[in-house]
Amino acid sequence: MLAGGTVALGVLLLAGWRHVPVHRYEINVMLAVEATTAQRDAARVVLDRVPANQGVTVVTREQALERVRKLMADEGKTTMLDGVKAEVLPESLKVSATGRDFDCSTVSALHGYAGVKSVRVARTHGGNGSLAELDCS
Amino acid sequence: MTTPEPYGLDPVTEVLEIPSPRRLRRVHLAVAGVSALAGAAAVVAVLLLTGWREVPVNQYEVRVFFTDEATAAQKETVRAALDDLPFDGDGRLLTREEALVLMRKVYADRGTPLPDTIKADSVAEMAVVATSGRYLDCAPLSSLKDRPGVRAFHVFQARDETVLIAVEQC
Repeated sequence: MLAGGTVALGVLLLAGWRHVPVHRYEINVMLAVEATTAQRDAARVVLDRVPANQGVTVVTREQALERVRKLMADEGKTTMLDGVKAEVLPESLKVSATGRDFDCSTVSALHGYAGVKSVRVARTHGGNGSLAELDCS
Repeated sequence: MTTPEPYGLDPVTEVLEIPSPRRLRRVHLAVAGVSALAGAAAVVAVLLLTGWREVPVNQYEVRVFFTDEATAAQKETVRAALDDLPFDGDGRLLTREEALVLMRKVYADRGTPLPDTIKADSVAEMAVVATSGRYLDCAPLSSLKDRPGVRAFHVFQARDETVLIAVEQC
């Protein structure tokens, strides 16, 4: 039994098996300003299918404006946003997922969806906490 | 008159039921084989449960972007620092024109042409070094960003030499 286990371990190591921590993935889908509710919902259906996801969040135009205001306030540039209305900002969809790997094919189709401006997938490494942006184009 | 056998066993039957050494060897081999398989299965199960998976070999390229004010000496220092890293390749400097060619390739790999507005003048000079491995240790790179003349650096992770997988923020 011991010999069998040792041989199996040796073979797996030679085949490239290593410990893979569980990473955290953040998928951010930026919609076009003119995207319709139907287009947003279509994109949401795709994100709902991401394995081990923790629920899709819609960032509304108002929330986006609030976020930009906060970022500007941190830099002391609040007056630049005077008169800016939420309508000029796009909505976005966010979803978090955990896993040892991320299958880009689950979201890559979104690039061709009407109303979708960009799709970004960021990974926080489960081992060392480093950040990476995955190329899911 | 024959002497009664102890325990009433028939000597002929008893002899027939003793396995031959050859058969015994087969049984031992079978038991050993099954045990080895069980051991192998146990190891695989434990590794899977503790998060072991096949990790492919990736190609990594560290790209250090210089500021416009970076001097030739500063660039050479960074190139030498890349050379000293425990990587497969040698550190080399890229001119703006070479950096533009590299950027065109990155865009082409993504299936989008580089915008015409981007010229060599608008691209930063850089130092690059390549290596391959299942993982890249960011620790030796951490001092790069503090060097004079360095604007930023990124680590590009690719597979099969062409497919960009990720850009690591070390």
